[in-house]
Amino acid sequence: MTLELHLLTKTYPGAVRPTVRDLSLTVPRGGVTALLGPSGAGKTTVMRMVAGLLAPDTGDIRLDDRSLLPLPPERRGVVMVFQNAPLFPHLTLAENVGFGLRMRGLPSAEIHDRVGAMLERVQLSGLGSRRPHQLSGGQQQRGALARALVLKPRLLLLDEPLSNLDAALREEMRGLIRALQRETGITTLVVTHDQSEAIVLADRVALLLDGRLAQEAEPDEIFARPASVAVARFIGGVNFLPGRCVQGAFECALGRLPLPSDASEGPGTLTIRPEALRLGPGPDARVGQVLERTFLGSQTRLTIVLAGQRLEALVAPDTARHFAPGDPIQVSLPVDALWVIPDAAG
Amino acid sequence: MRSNHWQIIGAALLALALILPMVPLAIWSLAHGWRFPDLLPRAWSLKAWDYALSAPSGVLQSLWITIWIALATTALAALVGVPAGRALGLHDFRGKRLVLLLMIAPALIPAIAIAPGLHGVFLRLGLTGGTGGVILAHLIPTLPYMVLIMAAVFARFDTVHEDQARSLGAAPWQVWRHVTLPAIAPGLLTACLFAFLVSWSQYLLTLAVGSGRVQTLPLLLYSFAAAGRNDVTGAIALIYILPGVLVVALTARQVTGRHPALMAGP
Repeated sequence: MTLELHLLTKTYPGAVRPTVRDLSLTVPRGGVTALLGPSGAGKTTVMRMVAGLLAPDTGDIRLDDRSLLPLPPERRGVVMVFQNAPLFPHLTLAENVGFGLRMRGLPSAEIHDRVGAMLERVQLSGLGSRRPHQLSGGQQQRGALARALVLKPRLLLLDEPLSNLDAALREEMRGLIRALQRETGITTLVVTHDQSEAIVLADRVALLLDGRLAQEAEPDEIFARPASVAVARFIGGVNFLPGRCVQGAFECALGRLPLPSDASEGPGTLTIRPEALRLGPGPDARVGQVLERTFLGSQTRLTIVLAGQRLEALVAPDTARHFAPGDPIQVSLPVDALWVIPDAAG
Repeated sequence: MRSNHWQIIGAALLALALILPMVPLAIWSLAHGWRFPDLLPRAWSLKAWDYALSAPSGVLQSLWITIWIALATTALAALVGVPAGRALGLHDFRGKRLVLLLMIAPALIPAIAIAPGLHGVFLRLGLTGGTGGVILAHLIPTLPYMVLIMAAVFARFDTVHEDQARSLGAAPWQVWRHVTLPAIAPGLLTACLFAFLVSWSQYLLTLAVGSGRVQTLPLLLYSFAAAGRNDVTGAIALIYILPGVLVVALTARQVTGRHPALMAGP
């Protein structure tokens, strides 16, 4: 089932600006798209509109070429799993998982079988008669996922499915979501504010900034070729050099930097990810000065001044040990790590 | 351990204070004359009970009317109070405090202050002298309890459960039946108990609006008391107390909230 959002706009009553503006997005059949953005970007609003819990002001939501807008939430074949996915506390785990099937009026024998199979699939067999408060956080989360998947929805919406889980549980949940999604092939839209969550869960990432679609691409594409400075900043970009593309090279404070062949001409901003900077002697190395060294755990951040420009590099702590603040340092900017954002893109 | 002893003694004293006033009623209802300075009646009889339970006394008829009025009042109060409580508990809006104040007002203002005016209004509307008018009048003191309790209940209700149910395929009435109602049931039961008992104990409003033609139990009780029929008064009083005691005894477990509910927070 292909999900298409077409020019969706939503302004809440009393709000000055629309929360979601002219959003168009396609989630391919059987694919997983992550709707990524900072909190307040309108992600959950989009989800609620797709789920049918909120009506858009304008625009259309189509699933396999049929508009969902005339349908109430319970008839859309779209199931949303809410953040923290609370199970209904007054029902047992099995009753929770069977809730949607019961609402559809299925015979209890069939409900029993499908719930049993689903519980087994999410490794909760034998816990069916427990109440939610007798389950661990991870078990509740798996139960909530089972409660949605047992319905075999045409479209699955996951709202921050990994938030509020500790590191080990996140890993487990992530694996389970990916595995179940592959098995069932259910078209899935995941909302998250966490870029690492988006990358590991999704085939494609749609970045929502300020209610607008800022970029939609495969995860590595967004990292390597951000469409705007705002996108680059959101995904952790820190190095920006204003300048101009002229004949395959970028002219800026650092001089003429050769670019990959597909760069477009004109004024732009050069960006390079902090982990792509190379330190130490090299054929194109320039000499700068270490300004600051910050130990971050698995990596160390070096702040460097090069030709009056501040650059940040993320390197292994072992490498960083050789550079103290005030030391001269040789820096190279690998050509294939450079990316120029045309100024028109903002 | 010590504090436990004191708690038991305290509870016993409280129970005694609640039960003692009923003892003379019970004695009166079984006495065949009871004169000063006798500590107990010299002769006992079931005469008062025979009379109270017979048709001419009108006690049973009054009992049914009182029950019917209290039930209808409770149902109407819930019908209005649940949505109102939901709005007050879940949403913030301009003038909310004023609305709350107006809601509490009937519980603060003595009925005697409004009874004459109410009688005038109901008279003009042709609502006096019937159970319908009495039920409407009883809504005045019962609604505050219903609305305020339900507002507190909904303030702790997490509507994400309703959205989740909806997305899992529940139609609006199914959400209400399978998610919202189970969540608010303990609170709703408490509110209904209050409403029932407040209506049950109305005297003045029933008198003013019923114009004496709607004989609820408290009205009948008062007329027998005023006529000096202590034996019958005792019997009616015990009948009058019974539903309240029964209702509380039967539902005490739910009211104390030992029931998991769809509540957020502590």
